[in-house]
Amino acid sequence: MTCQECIEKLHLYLDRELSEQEQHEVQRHLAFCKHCADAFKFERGMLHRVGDSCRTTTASAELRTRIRVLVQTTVIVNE
Amino acid sequence: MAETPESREVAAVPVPNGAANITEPSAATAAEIEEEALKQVDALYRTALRMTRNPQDAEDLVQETYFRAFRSAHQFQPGTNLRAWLFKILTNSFINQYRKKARKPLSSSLEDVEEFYLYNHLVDSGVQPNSPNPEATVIDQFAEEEVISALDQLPIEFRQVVLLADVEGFAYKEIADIVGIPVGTVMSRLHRGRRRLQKELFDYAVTSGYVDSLRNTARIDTTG
Repeated sequence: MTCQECIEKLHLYLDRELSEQEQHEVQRHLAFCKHCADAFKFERGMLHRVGDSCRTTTASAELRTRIRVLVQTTVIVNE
Repeated sequence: MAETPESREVAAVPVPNGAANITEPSAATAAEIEEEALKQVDALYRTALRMTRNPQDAEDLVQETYFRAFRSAHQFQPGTNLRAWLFKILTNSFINQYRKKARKPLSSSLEDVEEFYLYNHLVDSGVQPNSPNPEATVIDQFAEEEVISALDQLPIEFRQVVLLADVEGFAYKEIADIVGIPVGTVMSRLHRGRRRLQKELFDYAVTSGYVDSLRNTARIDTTG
């Protein structure tokens, strides 16, 4: 696998959307290509940081109360 | 919102995974659906907040989502993904509100940048992107609000798929179903959105002085 082929699979690799064999091929390239390995590592860290930053947001107590009231007053058509 | 939920027109709610609109008795009890659905309040709210960029609108959107979900809980098929179903209702509610308010089509124009934009620009600026010292990396210089503010710069259709993938961890197929677009479109929006986000982060790192301060740190390290 060339660097270009590896970089084309960057997002699919990080998102675990590759087949097992493709996943393997990328890993093999990253094992000996420090250039790609460093860039992939950085990308993964950056995306984790984006996720972590957003996940600290929580719903307010008022919103929870509003939803609970909504649940109690909305007829769930289930039967 | 002043109007009561009852006064609102209830738009068609998405039916998960080919579930037909047939009144088939459902095995999941209302209580089970309620309990599971209520666990998603934080996730739905943080997504709504980043989509609307306004706490009041986000709260209204989440409330609307639960209202629609509970009203159509009979359409929910046990065994299918409740979380994805709620996100789909959230997305549809948002689109209805957004179109009403903005009355303009989504802009798909977004200048694309190359892969590893942030990484490459840091290297070119004389900053080591992956420092062994975690405090010395640019990513760790950013405060949470700064990362969020960069994300908020993305046009909604790109921001939305980044949120669903990188914050909520949905698979491409799930995102395609939630947003109602083909998997190929999910991929192109997600990849372009992430690249563009790096440009926003880099521009911010330059204007805020992070790049300069890290470059100076690196110089001291090599000379000292």
